[in-house]
Amino acid sequence: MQPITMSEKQSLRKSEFPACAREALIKVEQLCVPQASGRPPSAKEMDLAMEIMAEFIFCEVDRRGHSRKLTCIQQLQLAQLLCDYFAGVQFGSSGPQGAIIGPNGDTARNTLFLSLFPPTTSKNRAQALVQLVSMAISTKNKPVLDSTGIWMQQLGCTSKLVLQLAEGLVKDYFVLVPKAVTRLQDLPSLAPHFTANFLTTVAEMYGCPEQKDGFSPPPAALLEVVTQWVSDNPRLCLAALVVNLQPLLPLGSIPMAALTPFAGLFKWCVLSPLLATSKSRKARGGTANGSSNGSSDGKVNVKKESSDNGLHNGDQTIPKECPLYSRLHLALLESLVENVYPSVHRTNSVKDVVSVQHLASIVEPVQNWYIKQVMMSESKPQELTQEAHEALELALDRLGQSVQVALAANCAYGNKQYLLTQLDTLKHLPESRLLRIVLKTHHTPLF
Amino acid sequence: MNPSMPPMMKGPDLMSELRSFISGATRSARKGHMDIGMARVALSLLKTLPASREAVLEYFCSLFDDIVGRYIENVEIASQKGSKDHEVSLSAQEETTIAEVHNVICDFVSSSPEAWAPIISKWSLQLLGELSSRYACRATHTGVLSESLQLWMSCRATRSLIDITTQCLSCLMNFDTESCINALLDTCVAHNPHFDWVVAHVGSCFPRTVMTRVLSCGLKDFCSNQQGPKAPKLNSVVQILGYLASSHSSDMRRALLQLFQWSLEKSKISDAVTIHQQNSTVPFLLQLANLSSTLLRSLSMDVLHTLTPKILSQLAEQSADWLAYYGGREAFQDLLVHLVLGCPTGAPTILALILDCAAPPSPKLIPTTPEEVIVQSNGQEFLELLLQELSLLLHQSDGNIPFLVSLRQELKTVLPLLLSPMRLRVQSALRLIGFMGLQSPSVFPIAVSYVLVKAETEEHLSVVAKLLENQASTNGNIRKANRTGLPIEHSNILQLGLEQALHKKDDKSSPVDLWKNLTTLLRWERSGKLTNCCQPVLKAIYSTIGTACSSLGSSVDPKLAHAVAETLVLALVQEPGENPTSVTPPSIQDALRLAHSTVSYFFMCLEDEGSKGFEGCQLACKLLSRLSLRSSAARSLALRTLLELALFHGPTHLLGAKELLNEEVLTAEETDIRLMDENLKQGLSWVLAQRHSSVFHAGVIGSGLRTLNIENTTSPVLIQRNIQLFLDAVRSCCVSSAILDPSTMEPGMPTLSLDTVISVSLLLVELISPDVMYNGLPWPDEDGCKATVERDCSIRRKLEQLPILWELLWFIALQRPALCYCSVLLRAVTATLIAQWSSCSQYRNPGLLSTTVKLLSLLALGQLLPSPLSSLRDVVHYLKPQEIVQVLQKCVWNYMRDNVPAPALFSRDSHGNMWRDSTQDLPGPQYTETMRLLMLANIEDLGELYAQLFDN
Repeated sequence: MQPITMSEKQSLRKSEFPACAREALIKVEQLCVPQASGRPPSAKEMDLAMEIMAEFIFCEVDRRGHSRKLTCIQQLQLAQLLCDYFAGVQFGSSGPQGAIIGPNGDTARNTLFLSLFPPTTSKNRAQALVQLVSMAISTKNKPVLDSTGIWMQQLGCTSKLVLQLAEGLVKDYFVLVPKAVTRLQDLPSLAPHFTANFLTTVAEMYGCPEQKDGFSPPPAALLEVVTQWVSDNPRLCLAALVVNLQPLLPLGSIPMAALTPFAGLFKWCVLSPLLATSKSRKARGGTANGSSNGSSDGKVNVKKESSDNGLHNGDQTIPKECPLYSRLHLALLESLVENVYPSVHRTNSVKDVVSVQHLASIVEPVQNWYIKQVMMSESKPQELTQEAHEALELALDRLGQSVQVALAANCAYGNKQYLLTQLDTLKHLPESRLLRIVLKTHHTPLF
Repeated sequence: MNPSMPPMMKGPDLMSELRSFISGATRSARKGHMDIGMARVALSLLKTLPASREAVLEYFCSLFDDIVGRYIENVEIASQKGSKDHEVSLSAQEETTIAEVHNVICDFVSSSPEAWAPIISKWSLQLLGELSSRYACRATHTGVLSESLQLWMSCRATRSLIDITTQCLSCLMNFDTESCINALLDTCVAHNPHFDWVVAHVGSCFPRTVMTRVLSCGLKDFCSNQQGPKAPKLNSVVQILGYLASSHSSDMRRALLQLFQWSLEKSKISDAVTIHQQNSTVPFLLQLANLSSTLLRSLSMDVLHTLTPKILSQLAEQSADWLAYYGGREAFQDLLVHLVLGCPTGAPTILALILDCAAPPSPKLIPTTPEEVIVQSNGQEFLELLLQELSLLLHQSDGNIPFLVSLRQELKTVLPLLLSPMRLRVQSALRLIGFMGLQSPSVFPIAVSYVLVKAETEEHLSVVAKLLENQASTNGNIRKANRTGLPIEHSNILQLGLEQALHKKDDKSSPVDLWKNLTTLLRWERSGKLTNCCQPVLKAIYSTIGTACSSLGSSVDPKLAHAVAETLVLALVQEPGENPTSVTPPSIQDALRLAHSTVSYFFMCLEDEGSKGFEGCQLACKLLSRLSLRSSAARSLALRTLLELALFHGPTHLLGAKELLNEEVLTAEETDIRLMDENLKQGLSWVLAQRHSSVFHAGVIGSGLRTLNIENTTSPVLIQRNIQLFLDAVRSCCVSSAILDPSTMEPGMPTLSLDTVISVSLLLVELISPDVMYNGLPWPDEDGCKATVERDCSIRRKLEQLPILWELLWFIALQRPALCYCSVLLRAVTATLIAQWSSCSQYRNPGLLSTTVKLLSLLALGQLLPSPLSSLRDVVHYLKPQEIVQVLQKCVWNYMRDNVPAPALFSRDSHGNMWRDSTQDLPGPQYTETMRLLMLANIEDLGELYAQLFDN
């Protein structure tokens, strides 16, 4: 292997955009992927690789270092090119045989992917990543999706970049072109690892108390797809745990711990009835904040609007909440049970599926909601409306169920005592029989 | 990992589509080749491959660009060929492509507007912007908005784009107007001015929203980083708003008003940005108005009227930030002045506002706190600046100043300022009126008329004087500039103003005040207080004498009549020793009318028993005398009218007339006599009504007894007063022109004109004597009287009924020899007296006697009977009827018959008085003997007199 020097850049400069990107990819791969010797690339080589990526692949800078931008068509072209490359399509006859073909192919591919999109990726390149993954989903490009799944896990499913990616994908498939959703149905079977990580991220994205007035529910299409995924593939949520990352990662990398979507999705299910009541209450109370001069961000608006629509549709059929949540909840519980008592024989049942902390984080929003509802109620003494009461009951039941199943299946890890103390704080809420039983069952006397 | 793996079943399909799209797109970008297949691929990608969205849209950009480019080429070719219309069709392929693209995009937008509309609207706006600025210079040469609108709307491609845009915007308008208007503005800024047609079109679709939003975006832009007038979007904002304002003016006004009101709101949640925006709203609006006159107009319609001093003080709290936008206080003031002068409407409101600040309308509001004092001083400063700028502009250019035009249209709001107690207000109003007068001189008369009608104090009236001065200077300017070529004289202005004031149908103002004000003015003019050489007030009054006459003559409003009379007296009556005026006196016609109405006025006053009536009569006398001196025609008319009214048609009872049922009444009752009824009457069949045979002294056969005279119920004192007043009036008419020049007047000279008195006596004859024949001076034989019995009776009866006649005769008698001309009357009385005395036996009728005495006194006074005959009146008291007959026949009648009472008997003395020298032509004994003998017969009573008369 001849050493790659600065003169490489000169030679790359001779060709125009699509061609130079193709060649540059090969060069970068050569630089980043450790050769047979197993020597990791030197810092100098990595720097060069970065420069080549910036100048010739993503065309973020020109030869003098000034920033520039590809046209949209060129961006699409680049995405297609990357897809093709990762899928192992050979470019012309003159190109060297890609090292990613072969037994070591996955590792090399992942290495290249991780180098192309490092955690410090710029905004434009993140955009390109979204486009690439989106295209990969459409074209069912398994290699890219696999690499993305690993990339997500390595960066952490709740990191900013991953959230950005998930947001972009949701926008593409669930907001803008809901018709394209059909392409997602076999995604769990195609790329389970990616799907599982995507689920985790999405669950975090929508489940978190985003604004002071509550939670942003996911778009209806997304909820539907997620429900279908989870109920059709009981082991999907565990996919990230199952995969052994170490061989797939670049040399010297440490695999990051996987996060399952269980807790996040449980949160959806628990909070959704509460959200439904506060929404309907708000609707009854008239429009609260007209955004006449408010400088609110457009994106937030879009999201809110779509969620509103989804919920309103749900309201019309069933006044309380979307039935999909029940299905999702059931599917989640079944997944947990399936893990311990597999219907099909499996060798490895996975432990440490749900973090206790993660589960316990559901308690706080419920409490906040309760306090707010009580404060808002006009009646004296302050108590919940019938509707809110029912919603709370449902929410607590779901919470109780999740906790019970998680504990019973022995899937939870972490300080269980903490979870129970947290649950204890719900005592001043209207009593939930199930929750009490759960508490009683698992309460181990301290003395 | 093989491309042919089963899970990728659909993959290659999509991939190949993608590849063909990419190759096609990169190729077509270079070649400019349009391919419907490509477009379809792109559309299907858009539907199936979300990642390709941006690229597909970009591809459509070039697609549309191609199509529009071809379209423009065709248009150019067409226009070279000379065809006027833009009916250039696209190829069928292009049409279908556009239609398909349009459909797909619209489907997307309508399926989930919240998601797609922002993307698509941004895309379409950008594309439209690029297209229009790229081809603008090629296609539209004029740059007129309507033309480019037509050009672009007739192109299928751009039309579809616009359609897509509006659809997006209509989706967005509901919840995300902010960003979409921002996009619109940004594009507009980028492609100025070629993008205007898009904004115009879009704006007309949602005028209200677009306006409101454009305003708020503009405001944000305006106040971000204190950019102020340098804000990049400002021009676009102005253009868009200007365009929209012209077609949707009410919406525009509402939007502006909303924004303004918003700026005044004090919200509870006050974040710094909002407050900053609120504070910048007013400078922003002003800047808008500064840049566009259409907006200025809109602004001056609604927003302006919401301004009150209270709001101003509210604004003052914000104003700390304002100056920063304009670079200093002076620049800001300049801007404001400029804007105010440009206001096409609402000028009165502005003026009122400034004045309210500068000079509070009532003393109660005089500022006390330091802030208020500042407001006041600022207001005054601004007012001064405004006025100075106005004057500067007016003297520099001929152009109309909208502010003044508006003010002129609403002149009635300016006029009240003239009467304000605040000096500043008055002065400002005066100056403004002066400015307006430069352009339309008719303002002056209006102002003058207003003040004349409304003025209540002398200060108010002094405004008129100032107006006149003001106009004088204006006039000078006009002459210099030679603009109208027809300078209006002062008097003319006053005159026009007066006319307007008089004809103003305004029930609030009474014309009485107007005339009183005129009087004051005239008095000032008289006393030289008005520094004006040509006596405008007098001229004006003369010019309106017609109206004055009608007010004077009508008895509807006595107060008015008094006021008018006072004015007229002042105008017409020249005080002794005063220089004659240069003003042309009233025309004959006016003089005649005036004479007539003065007489009417006189009688109106006569009816008033109070002091007002008395004064009025005196005024009338003054007027009459003045008129008579001025014009003999007026004199004779006045006299005739006076007499006619006094004797017949006027309030004769006031002058002691005895009411009568005259013959006309009787005959009137009998007009409906039916012959059959008459025939049925018992009696002599040939006695017919109204024949001599049926009329008797005591009555008419068939009508019963003649009714006796009804006694006058007016109190004698009043009658006496009235008679005196009436005689005064007559005397006024007869006044001689000698009194005009008191220096030549000597004591003893006649103040009355003899000719006039003679004419009075002739008039009397004419009025009283029913015949025209035998009205001469000579007394005929006694037998001759038999022919004139009826006439004599008639004359006698009139004298009986109208005591005023005696008074008149008395008056005439004093002015010798005027009584000569009344000879016929005297003759008739004498004849009837003789007849009556002869029919009395022993009984001395007291009435008869008094008449006789009156007659004899009259004859004596008029020197028609010389001494000693002149003393007969003292004698007759002691005589028996037969003796009286004797005296009347022998002494009076015969003397008069033989000595025709002619003016020739009188001679003029050194003072010009006529006198009959009784010592020269003593009556012969044939006339005096009877008298003497009868006196002797009654010597016990008449001894003393006898001695005086005959014992010499």
